[in-house]
Amino acid sequence: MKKVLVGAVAAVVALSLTSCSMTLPVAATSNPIGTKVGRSSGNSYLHLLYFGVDASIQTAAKNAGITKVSTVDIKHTDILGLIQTHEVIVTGE
Amino acid sequence: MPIQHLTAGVFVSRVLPLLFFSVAMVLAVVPACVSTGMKSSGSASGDYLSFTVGEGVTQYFIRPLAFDRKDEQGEIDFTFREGQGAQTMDTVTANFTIVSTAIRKTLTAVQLRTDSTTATSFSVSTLYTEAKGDEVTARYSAKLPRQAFYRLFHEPVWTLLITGPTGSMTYQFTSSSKGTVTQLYRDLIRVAEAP
Repeated sequence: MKKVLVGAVAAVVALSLTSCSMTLPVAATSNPIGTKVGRSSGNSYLHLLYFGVDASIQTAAKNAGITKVSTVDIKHTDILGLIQTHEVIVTGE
Repeated sequence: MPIQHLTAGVFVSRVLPLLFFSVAMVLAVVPACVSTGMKSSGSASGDYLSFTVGEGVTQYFIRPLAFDRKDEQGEIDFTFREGQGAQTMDTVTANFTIVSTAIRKTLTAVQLRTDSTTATSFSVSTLYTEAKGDEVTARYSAKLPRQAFYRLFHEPVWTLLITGPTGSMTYQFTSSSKGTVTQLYRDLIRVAEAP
């Protein structure tokens, strides 16, 4: 019984560690931080179903009219392994 | 535990508490995730992002707020700089998307309104206009006066008015956007607009 309980706690803790958001750097150029910020995002489900997610740098830059990219970050949000959100954030000029 | 030994008594005394415990832990985890991952509390989470541009100057990006009108939907995001020095600007860049069956390649004005404040731009540039099926996605960019933009956040009910060659359209911000506006005022704008 004790082993089962420990296993359940470990499973829930592991689950909690994968259920929040994380922002990571993708790229940085020598261009200064521009006055424009663009984003592109999309959801996926169960890490399996993507339905044509377009979270590309190109789309993020296009959404803000950016032609010279300064930085690119990506943010992943995962809710209990069920729903994943992918967001790319581009700054530039 | 072999299945043949899983009597009702064992289920109630051993399995049921374990199930309750696991569900309680999961329920505890979900709000924890929401509070750290979705709330506007940091530089890279929640309703806005912040970027350090230079000494004493920060650039903010407010994530899209949704609005709609009958069969049309849209969203608007804002970028502005706050701080002292030459890198700070008096305007806020508002980029907005409208998905509609109507084709509007150009706009002549955009206005954000509350009951007591209006922020208007008569210079709207079109970033792109694309057809997707029966609908057309158009994205525009305009610059709004910064102080009027700050005052918009004093009230959560916003209206967007666009004017083009074929006339004007009014859009209402969604209820979730109203909550976000209130949250943004508390977390960001009331500090940014203070002298």
